[in-house]
Amino acid sequence: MLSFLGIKVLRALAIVLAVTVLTQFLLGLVPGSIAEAILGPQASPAQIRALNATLGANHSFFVRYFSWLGNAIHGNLGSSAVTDQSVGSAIVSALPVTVELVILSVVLAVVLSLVTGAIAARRPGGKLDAAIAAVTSASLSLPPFIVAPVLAYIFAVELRWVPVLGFVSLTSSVGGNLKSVALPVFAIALPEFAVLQRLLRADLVATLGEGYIDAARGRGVPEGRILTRHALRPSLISLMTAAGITVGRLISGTVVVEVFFSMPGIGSLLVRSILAHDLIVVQGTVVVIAIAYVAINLAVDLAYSLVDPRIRIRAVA
Amino acid sequence: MTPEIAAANGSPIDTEPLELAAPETSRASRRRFDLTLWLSAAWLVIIVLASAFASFLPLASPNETAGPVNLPMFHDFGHSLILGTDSFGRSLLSGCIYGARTSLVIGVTSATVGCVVGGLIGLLAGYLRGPTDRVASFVIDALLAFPALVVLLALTAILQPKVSTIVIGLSLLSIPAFARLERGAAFTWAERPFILAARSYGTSRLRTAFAHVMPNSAVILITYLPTIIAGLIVAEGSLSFLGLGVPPPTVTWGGMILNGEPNLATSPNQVLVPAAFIFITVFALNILGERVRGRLDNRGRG
Repeated sequence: MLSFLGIKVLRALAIVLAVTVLTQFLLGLVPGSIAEAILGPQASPAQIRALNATLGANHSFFVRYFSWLGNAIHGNLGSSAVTDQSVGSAIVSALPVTVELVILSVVLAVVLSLVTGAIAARRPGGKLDAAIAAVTSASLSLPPFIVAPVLAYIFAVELRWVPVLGFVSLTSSVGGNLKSVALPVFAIALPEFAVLQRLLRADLVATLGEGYIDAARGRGVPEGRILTRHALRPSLISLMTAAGITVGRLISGTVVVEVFFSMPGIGSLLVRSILAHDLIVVQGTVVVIAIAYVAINLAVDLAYSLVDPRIRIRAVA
Repeated sequence: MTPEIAAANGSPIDTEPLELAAPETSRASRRRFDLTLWLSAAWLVIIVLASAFASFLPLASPNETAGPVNLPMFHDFGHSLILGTDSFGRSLLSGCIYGARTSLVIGVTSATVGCVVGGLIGLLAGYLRGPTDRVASFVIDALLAFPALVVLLALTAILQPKVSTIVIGLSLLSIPAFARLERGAAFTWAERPFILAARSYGTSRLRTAFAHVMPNSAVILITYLPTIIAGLIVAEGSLSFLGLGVPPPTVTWGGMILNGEPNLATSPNQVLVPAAFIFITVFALNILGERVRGRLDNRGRG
């Protein structure tokens, strides 16, 4: 178990380091100097020289990378060249919004897929199964940047159930907060729900064909109880794994939705700094998102291997 | 991912769940006329032809003022304005057809590059095994562990958003997916007796890989091609929607949604029309991929 853990953690660290090297390398590809890109065409040569000096842009790649890495390890990701705010505090203030969106979307996707998966698996090939399959098949082709404006049109413009824009933070009003995140959460959750539902349904159909299910039926266990108690339990492991992977993917998937609904999360921060050529913020945000992504994938991997010991044996061998 | 490939990979968890376990169809229902599939195929043929020959169609240029602004859908005003106009009076139909060109060219080119490069990496890793495989697998896993959209965004932040930059970025995203698929397939095909037979005739390792393993194992790449093209079209759309895709005057579906969004309350068709084009195209590609994989799986089993 220890060597398995060691391999996985080392791998995750290697990937995080690779991301930091890659982002630093990409910054080196900026046409002209970084200061020119940040200050824009109106900047005077003196301003550019001054900013290049403060950024250390005149040093070699390795010097720049290791000084950035050294600062980053101490929690200092530099500060924005546009707003002068520290990158760390910008990320910390944006994080709660993104985390809330991700958690709520995953919970919604899991709950929806559990309910519809169980209904569909009761009679595979039946009318309900076919109807649900049609819905998931459509949902898979509905990315957030399509769903978000359509939902906004239906629920905010036509029905006026929720506000179109304006994020209400959880601390100021719980009800207002839930109202303001309802549409974004649904837009993010829809394609993920389809993925999870298909996985769960296939798993459940296979499980329901097992001998112990027949045995339970023979003992006279009611059909609903067989589904929820006997069949669903083993399928939950793979569902939870898939949901864990979804969390990782959603961290970057919220970008589009945050921008559309003007929610002050990590995604908005990233896009805003890209549009403003605020490359120091871009670098810090990308690295933080990558770390979160890798950490979640690692956690899912480890959790899965705790539940199913066969995996860690195979990985080490 | 099919179970055998997942098993061959030795990885129980897909970082990217490509295979979305299509509901299995029974033999009887498979023989029935598959309306969804035919409609999907018909749509793809129409959109490919229309966008390829767009300049010969009786359409206004997508960037020219062709009628009154904010025209609603199905307003009786000439066939080229049937879907309405945007806030500059540009025809939405023209925009969607020229936008299809951008999306399809970007999606197909980057998926093809990804398929060839990823396929080669996967073939060599899966057939040669040993150190080649270990290095290739680590790189593939590392690439799959990158948050894709974020890397793409960072890339556009730094390089100018042009068709070529976006194709490079999207190819980089699709390479690991193809490489992993091909690696698994090459791994299992390399175990077949006819490969051993070819080797015992004195066929070189490289020739065996390309002449015997590749034609068989690469089939799986073709079956995933439509699905991955769909994914890349979505990625390109997301970028354009964020204003970070191919810049105007090139028309993009994502860009049209972005432009129409401020007028959502007054003329929703400016958002709904391009959204429908993306949805139908992505849906058709997904159905195509799913059905092709379904047929192939069944033949293997039967």
